[in-house]
Amino acid sequence: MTRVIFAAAIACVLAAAPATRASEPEMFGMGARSPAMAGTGVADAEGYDATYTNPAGLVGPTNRRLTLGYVHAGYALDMDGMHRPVDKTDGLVLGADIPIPFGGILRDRIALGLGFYFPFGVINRARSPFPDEPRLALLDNRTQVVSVLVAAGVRVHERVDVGVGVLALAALVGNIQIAPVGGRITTVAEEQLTTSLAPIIGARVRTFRWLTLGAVFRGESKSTYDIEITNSLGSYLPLTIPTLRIAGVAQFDPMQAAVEGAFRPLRWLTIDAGVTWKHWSAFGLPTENATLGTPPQPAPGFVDTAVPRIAAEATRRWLHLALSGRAGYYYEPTGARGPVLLDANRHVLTFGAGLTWTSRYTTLQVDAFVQWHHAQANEHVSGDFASLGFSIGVDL
Amino acid sequence: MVIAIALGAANARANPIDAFGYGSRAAAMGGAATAASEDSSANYYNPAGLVHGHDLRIDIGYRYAEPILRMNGRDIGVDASRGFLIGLVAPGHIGPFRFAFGASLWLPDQRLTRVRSLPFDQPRFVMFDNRPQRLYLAANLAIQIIPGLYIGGGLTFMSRTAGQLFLKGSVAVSDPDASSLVSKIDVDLQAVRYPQAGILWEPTPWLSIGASYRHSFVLKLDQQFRIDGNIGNPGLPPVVENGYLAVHSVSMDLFQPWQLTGGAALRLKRTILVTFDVTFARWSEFPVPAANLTLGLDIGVYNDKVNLPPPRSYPSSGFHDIVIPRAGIEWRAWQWPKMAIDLRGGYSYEPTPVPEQVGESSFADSDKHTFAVGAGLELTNVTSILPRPLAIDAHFAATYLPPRFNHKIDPLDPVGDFVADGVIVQIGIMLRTRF
Repeated sequence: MTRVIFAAAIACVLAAAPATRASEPEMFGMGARSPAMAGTGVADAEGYDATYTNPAGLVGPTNRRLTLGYVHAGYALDMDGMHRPVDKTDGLVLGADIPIPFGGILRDRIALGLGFYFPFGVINRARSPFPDEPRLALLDNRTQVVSVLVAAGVRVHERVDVGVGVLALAALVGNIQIAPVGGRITTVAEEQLTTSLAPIIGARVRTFRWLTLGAVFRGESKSTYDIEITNSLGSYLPLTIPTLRIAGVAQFDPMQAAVEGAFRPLRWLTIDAGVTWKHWSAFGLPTENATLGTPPQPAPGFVDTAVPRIAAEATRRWLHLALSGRAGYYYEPTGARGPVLLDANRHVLTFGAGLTWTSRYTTLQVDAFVQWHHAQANEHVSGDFASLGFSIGVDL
Repeated sequence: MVIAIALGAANARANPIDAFGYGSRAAAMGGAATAASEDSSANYYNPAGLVHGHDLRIDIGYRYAEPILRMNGRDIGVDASRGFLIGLVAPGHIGPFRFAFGASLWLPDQRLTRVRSLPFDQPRFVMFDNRPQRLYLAANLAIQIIPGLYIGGGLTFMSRTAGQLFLKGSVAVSDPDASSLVSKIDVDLQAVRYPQAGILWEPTPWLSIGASYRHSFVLKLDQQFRIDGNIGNPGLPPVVENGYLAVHSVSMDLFQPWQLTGGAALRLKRTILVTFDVTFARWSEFPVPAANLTLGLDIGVYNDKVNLPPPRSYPSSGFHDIVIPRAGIEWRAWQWPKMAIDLRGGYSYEPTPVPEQVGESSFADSDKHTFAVGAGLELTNVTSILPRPLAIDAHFAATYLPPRFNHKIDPLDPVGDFVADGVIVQIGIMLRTRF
């Protein structure tokens, strides 16, 4: 029975998961525990949360677990003094922890993890206004895309775990030609959806009983589009329409490196503290010029940022129950420098709770979180937004 | 100048698994696997077979197919089909009630999908031109009705894009390269689904009978271009203000017929399994694979100099339904306590659904005779690390297309009479693990 439910989840996940990647984990964190703890987890996340936070954490649990969750976020943001509508975030989260049941020396040493975020109604959205139109460069539509994370963790030593994962990405490439064929006008079109993978590599060391250190590297994640439109209507029109190229970046998460410590000063208390470096200076033009004669656009001019995070988790255990309370804070400085690609620094408070119930048949894990993002007002952007979510996991 | 382009272009196409099969075991048996699949290939051949086994299965493989397809003796360079196969089967039970879930993925290693709309009269191998160049993803559920009788069904998933592209700026009359245009985009990638189902019956220990149905699929490719704005030269007042050019192209693409397959598997001896399949494929619903185009234009003072030809209409494609027989054999040639070797062979005959090309179109195709061989190595409890059986399968198949002559009615036809023939060779390997 457990196998079946477990496989059902895998099947659903695979079925609904074209290879596309997005920023919901980057915006709010993966799962329901990490978002409640300010996006930490590099040093102590386990299960499918670890597919994004640090794949080395996958090798911790020894049970197959399937998790189903929901994430919602609403935005109240102003841009240049006017309300700026941003699509709500609404999506399902699916996670699977798959310890591989090898025997011998590999027993309990290798595990796979799958983490997915499915926004309702769309797999990926590429929406970018004209280059001279101000927009919320890092908030508009960022969560309107499927996130697919596949990772593996390996216990190489009693104190050392390592992990590697990938983010599956999609890019749209094509061309459309309007041409006369046989004395009639027709179109010849081709579009390709291509893939690229962004790596996630992590390690975790249990130095003392009260201290675990973790580090993770996440490669740049980018979804691009590039469509060329040509025509051969010269003999039918008194003017020549130039070749047009519609190209740009639909989704972008920067390369990141994070280090973190998980301190356990008391048996019931865990404190996570870490910092994440984000390579925002690699942010390219969201929309390239369509013709060669168009004056060059100024570079986005983004800068790299460092995101400090701190969070705490307190756990009380009874016979078959364990209840955890979580809270955290992180400061997300913006890499954007305007005047068209707008954003704001953010102060983020997070809260959450978790309940674990263990019975003779299975273990049930319920988690919930709330995040409040306060955009530090600048001359263009101000406002707040909030996200909430929950998940239910079952050991199979 | 503003250019608006509305795209309804889909990124999905006819089924590459129809063309080359799924998994090395089934492919080596000529694709006759409707009554003989219980690994992840059952997601394609017969979802009911998923519940036949008892183990959690994870399969990983790779397949490469190279078409050498010729028109008038010249290879026209149809792209190879290559990629990874990843499958999962997980059976379980609640008391005596057994059921299973499965998923299969064909992941091309060159691109996820490619969609292409060609001119109606452009010569092409219509059955192979783009068919393998897409992702295949299927998920199924199977249950046991009574011991020996199973049913299953599920969905196959594809993706399509829909949305709009816009450009604005100015188009230069005397030097098009001096045109200054910028763009914006609003495109969504959306999911597309179609169903499949199957039934499997084992009346005796030596006989299995199965049937499966795969639904049809066709994709509407809807592309709109609209050009609004000014026309002139940089630095000068515009010659035309608020002109436009609108292009709307609609075509049907990536057709897959609905298919009904019946199959049987006979275990003649403990070591010999013989399989047969017959598939009915509804190719007569094949739509014309070309664009219907409408144009609109207003460029002010230049309107009198416009000489756009009228849009084109097309005759019916005239495809017809076909019946495809398949046969396969599997022989356990060697059996040891920890290792066994299976040898396999198969044959299928797929008549062409394409009529002789006598008019404007030049859809090349021919009957297809596929000969396949393969082998499987099964290892059991080889090491303490892998206590459950592990199988490695490999196959080779060659599809022969005998020469087919097409005589055009019009002696001035730009393509003229042509003969189509060719060979498609494929190799594959698959690792099947059980836990």
